[in-house]
Amino acid sequence: MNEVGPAELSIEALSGSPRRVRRERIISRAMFCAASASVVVSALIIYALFAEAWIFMRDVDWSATWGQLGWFPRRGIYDMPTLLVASLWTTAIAMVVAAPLGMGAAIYLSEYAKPSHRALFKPILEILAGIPSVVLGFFALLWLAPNVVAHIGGEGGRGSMLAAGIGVGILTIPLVASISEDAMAAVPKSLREASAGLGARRAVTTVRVVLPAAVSGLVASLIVAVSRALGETMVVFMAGGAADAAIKTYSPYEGSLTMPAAMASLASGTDQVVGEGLTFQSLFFVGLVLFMLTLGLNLIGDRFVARVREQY
Amino acid sequence: MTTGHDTRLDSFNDTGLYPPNNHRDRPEDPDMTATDQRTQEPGADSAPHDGAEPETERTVIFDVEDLNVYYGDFRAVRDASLKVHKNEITAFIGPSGCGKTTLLRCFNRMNDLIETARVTGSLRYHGVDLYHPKVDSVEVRRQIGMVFQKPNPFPKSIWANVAYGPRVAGLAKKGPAMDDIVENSLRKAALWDEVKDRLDDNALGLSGGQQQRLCIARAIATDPDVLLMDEPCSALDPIATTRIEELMQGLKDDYSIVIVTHNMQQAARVSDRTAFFSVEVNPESDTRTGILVEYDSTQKMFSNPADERTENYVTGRFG
Repeated sequence: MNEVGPAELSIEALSGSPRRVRRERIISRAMFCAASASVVVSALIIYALFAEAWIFMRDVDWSATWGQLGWFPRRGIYDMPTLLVASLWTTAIAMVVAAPLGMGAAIYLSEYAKPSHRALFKPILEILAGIPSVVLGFFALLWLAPNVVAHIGGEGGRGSMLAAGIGVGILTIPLVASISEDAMAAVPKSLREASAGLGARRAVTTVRVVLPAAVSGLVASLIVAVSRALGETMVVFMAGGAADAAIKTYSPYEGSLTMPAAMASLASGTDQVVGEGLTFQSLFFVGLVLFMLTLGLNLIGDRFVARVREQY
Repeated sequence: MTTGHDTRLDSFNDTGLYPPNNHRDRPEDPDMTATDQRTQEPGADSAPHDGAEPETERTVIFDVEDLNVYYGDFRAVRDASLKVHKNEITAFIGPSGCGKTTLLRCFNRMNDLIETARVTGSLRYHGVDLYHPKVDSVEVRRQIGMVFQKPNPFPKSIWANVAYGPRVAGLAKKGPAMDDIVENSLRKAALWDEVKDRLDDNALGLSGGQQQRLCIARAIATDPDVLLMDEPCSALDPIATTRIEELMQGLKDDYSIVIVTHNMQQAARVSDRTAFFSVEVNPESDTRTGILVEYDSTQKMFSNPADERTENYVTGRFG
């Protein structure tokens, strides 16, 4: 047999079907546009936020934003510490709830649970993650306040930062649990075997080997949860115990407005946003502060997540 | 537990049966000292130099009888029976999937970590049933250390790696006592001179061979009775492999070693006894079950095996 090959080889023979090449190009461009859309939307949001916030920052009497009685935007009193203290309290309370429960759940799922138990618990956690925050807001106001807050020194009949904080905490448990569990699952099985082979019990292996190896991911889960809790709106608006204005308070048993709750209250209501000249713009200013805070936290969180990926 | 006298029998060197280049430092023939394996007349053409009884049975560490291991419904090992002796190196050889690692992992109950694993039959460790309901697998693992196929040091300092086991077992706390344990373990593992100036460095910075010796140091730091080694050299280059093999010869005086190896030459070089496992394909389910084909002195297994399958394997015609 002689060698068999094409009699003649030309550029055309290897160029492929022009129709298919063209289609491939169109698909590629369409996908690029889809990806760009989200970038453009993000840019527009930041622009809108900055534009209005800039008007506020330029025109406001800065003494009205500090050391005032509280947050009364319709009367031209924009005391930022009121909102910051409320945000700090609810976020801190949320973390006190979410960190131990979320990490505990993650440790159980990753280190202890039998496959059958895992198959039961993971979907339930995902359901919890999918509960609309407005439902949790109701739950916090109508159940947590009378049944929990009332027993730890608060008043059960109304909303408070404590009730809102616990509600937000419940909301962020699945977030902490899932990121922490991913971090622990990334720890190689061989390290657990090495530890077990040296006569370590599961708890020792978890504390001495798995958690230190996963620490970046655990920190990341907390940072992401803090950022989520800071931005949570509906639960704090409904259960936070203040409607459209708040008197400054340092007690978590009182009602107050967090940053997102203050924005929601300004943007809702039948009378639209009216009041003194800059009321509308103050909404954007608060939004900008919140945006900067969560952006910073997310950047730090991403750094930690990336470090998890670097190891091993 | 020190009935393992130095029963020196140089008969094999006299009769030229030993490979000329073997570097055993204790050329006793395990065949002659174990009643269950006795196939030759002891003392017929050899005289014990130091007056020890040639019949003296070495202490049996593991006595395995009709052991079956299941993963769910799947039987991974069928009816394995063998005895592992004190201060000897016992090698498990055989093709992939023959259950040698599975059996090894029964010895320190490492299979307990696998949810579906189940063991039937009898596995006695110094006469105690290892699978008795009252036996705690964690206590077992403190006495029976393990070195894994891939070096798996913790992402901690070299010092912390070695100190981990003693600390967990409560043998010592941070301080001079622990420093001594760390140094001795690293010396025994022939790693001390290479790492003594950087004990605080991360263990992941060591080479593969150093990491594996660190894992050996870590395993012997808890002062175990037995060392189980699951293909300890499979991830290493030949030079590192040689070092580990030399190390094993030195460790034999203090520990009993069971090693799983893919490498027949390695089994022939380092071990006193060899168990050959093979695979049996179950006709109905197409699953593969490991079976113990033959267990004897390494000498005999590689020169004059009783079973044809062993001979085919060790001569390279199968596997």
